[in-house]
Amino acid sequence: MNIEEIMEKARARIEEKKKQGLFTEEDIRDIEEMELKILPDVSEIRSFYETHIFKEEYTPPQGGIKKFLRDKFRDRFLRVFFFFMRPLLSPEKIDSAVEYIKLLHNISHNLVVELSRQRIKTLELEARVKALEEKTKILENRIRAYEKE
Amino acid sequence: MKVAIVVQRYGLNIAGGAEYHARLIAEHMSKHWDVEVLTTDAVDYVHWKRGNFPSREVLNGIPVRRFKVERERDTIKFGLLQRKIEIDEHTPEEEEQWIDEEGPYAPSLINYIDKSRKNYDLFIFFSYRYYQSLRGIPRVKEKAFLVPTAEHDPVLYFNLTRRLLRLPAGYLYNSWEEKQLIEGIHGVNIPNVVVGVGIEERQVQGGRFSDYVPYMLYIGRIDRNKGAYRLFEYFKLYKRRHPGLKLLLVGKPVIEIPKDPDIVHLGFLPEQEKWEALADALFLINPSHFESLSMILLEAWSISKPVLVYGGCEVLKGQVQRSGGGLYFNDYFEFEEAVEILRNQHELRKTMGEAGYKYYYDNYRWDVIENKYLKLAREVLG
Repeated sequence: MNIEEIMEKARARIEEKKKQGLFTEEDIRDIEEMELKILPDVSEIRSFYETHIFKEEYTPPQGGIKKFLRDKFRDRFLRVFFFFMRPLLSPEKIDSAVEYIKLLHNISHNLVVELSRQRIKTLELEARVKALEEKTKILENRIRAYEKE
Repeated sequence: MKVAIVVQRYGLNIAGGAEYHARLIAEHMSKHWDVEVLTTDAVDYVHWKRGNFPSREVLNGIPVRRFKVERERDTIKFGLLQRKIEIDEHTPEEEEQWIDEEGPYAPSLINYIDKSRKNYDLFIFFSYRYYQSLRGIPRVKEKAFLVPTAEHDPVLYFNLTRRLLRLPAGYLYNSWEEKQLIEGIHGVNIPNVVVGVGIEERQVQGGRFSDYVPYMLYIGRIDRNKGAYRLFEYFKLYKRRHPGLKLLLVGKPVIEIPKDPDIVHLGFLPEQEKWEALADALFLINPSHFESLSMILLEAWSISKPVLVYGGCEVLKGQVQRSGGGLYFNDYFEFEEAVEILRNQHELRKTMGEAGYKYYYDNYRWDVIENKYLKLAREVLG
């Protein structure tokens, strides 16, 4: 049993469907009904990667005692903070990484939905323009025919 | 030959892949070896809370020695330390501290291993990332086998883990993908065998769940880490486009299950009923991203049932490609196509089930598993 062969055939069918037209009537209905996800205030969520991306900004020009004290203070502050917050917050809720990923997921969901809607609108408009062009052509032909008469 | 199986928790009612795996191996290998289990008295795996266990007992004929967990895991302290080790600069002392914070912190277990190393010919450690393996293996490395149960996990890339992974005298891998992953990290040639765990062959009569037919079946913890959100989203979209198929869920829910007439949660089923649900299903689905070995996949194949797995999990995809016992999907479109094939192509579904059964028969019967353990022990220990 060659699974890859079956998967290749399945992928070919997917490509075929996509070529025939990305959206079916059902797809269009689904996309129209799809709700956008609520986005929280971006400034409230700290990026998981922030410390990596902006490392330079966080590192003082000179290390030494300042850096040591800052790290110590940060660790102690976090420990005290979490100690008092423990009864109120579950680890899941305070996990900024999870919140950040959720935010990214919601943004990408909304972008896909909005882009799909725009694509559908563009296709509709293109079809209308085509129809209008054809109509104009017919009308022009009719005018010419009348003019000849 | 006297063999100690060292595992973080042990018991008849202890749920957990590695713990259950260790118990099955202990019970089956006791036919060939004088097996004893060395474990802790932890009952849960998040905080390592202590259970009400005797320090010595016999479970299903296997003598068990339990050692006291000296302190529970402080999840906040542990989380902060782990994050620091993962992403910040850190010292070797902090890595050492991480081992104790990871737990289950039972120094008496390590002292016992140290003192009685001469009383045992072989130590088989389960799960590389816990205290008992990280502290225990260095003490008996020349007669230690490791069943790593490893997944793609940041812990694998810690310096201390890299050092530890070079120590065991032998490896018992769960899959070819796990072997590749571990060997890529330690980079040395250590005797090993890809073995996994055995499944008892059984005859199952379907019919109990015929009211739900046709359905795809998910068995396991219903959790985001197991790909449950992906499964719900894909299934809801699929049923809008191709109605008539149900999704049956068996297992403990950790997340909320969507309210949908076609998604049916059967709860935690007794063993026999679980097998009957499997027998009536069109196919089994496993959307999990992180698996070192999926026992439920092997169980499905042992009764010739095809499977559909998430292709993002190398182990699951590899098992399906090697066996021919099902299909995999990477995105919604592939999910839809694969479900359509498994749902509508009866002959192909049957052939896949048979291929899965052959794979199970050749690799995952208990006599095959036991022989692999015996062979590696002979090779390494003489």
